[in-house]
Amino acid sequence: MHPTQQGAEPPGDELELVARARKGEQEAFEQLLNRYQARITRLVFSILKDLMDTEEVVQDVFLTAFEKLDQFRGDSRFSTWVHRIAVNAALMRKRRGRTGVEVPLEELMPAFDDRGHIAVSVADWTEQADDPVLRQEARAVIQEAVAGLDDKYQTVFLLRDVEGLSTEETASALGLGVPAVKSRLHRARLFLRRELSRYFEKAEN
Amino acid sequence: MSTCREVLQLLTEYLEGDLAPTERAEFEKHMEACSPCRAFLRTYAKADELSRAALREADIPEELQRRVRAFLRTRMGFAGQ
Repeated sequence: MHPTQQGAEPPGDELELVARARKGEQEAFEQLLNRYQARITRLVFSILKDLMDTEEVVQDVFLTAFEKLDQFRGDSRFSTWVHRIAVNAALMRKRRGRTGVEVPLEELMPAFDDRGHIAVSVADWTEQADDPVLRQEARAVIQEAVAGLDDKYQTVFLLRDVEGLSTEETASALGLGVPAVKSRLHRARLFLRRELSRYFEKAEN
Repeated sequence: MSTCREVLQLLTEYLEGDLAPTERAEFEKHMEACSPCRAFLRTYAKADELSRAALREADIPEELQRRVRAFLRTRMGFAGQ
């Protein structure tokens, strides 16, 4: 089993790009968009699941980011800053709609006996997951599961696991401590595991 | 020897490489001896891998990206340059 730490790419020229964009240089502005537009659009779409809403929110996110470049101090990365603006904007838009449900932790874990050992069988469906047909179908299960995650788990999962921000960057973008990011990430992963387990176990029968 | 309940709380820290060497050794010792925990760890890691991949493949139309870029250029005063 390999560690999954991914880390975002370290663009050393980023502060310089931001400084040039601040002076109104179009090339720097375009380069920052080349770097972040697709990622931010995917992030916002993952939260909103609606292309029209996504388009409006992404426009607002970058307008806010560029108009407030003066407020970007460079003590965090530009990436963290723009992800924070995007999450806040997407969640504000989503508030008008529904939010996910909070599933009790016990429902995501196997049953334990009174000595703390697993008391049930645990199916290992990892080989089934290599079947291209099942894997393709599983995508829909995943999309639905992520959409159903409570905001506080969904945002951590999207920033840390999908967008590849580090644990510290995710904490900074969401205004959380590192331990909270880790425990929310664990909870999100447990939920996704349960949903996929149900799917693959059903597909087996 | 740790219990399954204790070990399953450490899955993310294990996968992120955040466990101290002694904790990691204890974790791996338990996994070696406990097939239900091994199955849980394997499916936990696989679910994460599949989920990352599925979300990264989100289908965003190119046209949407172009419209956003054009809107931003205009608003930033770069249009027509």
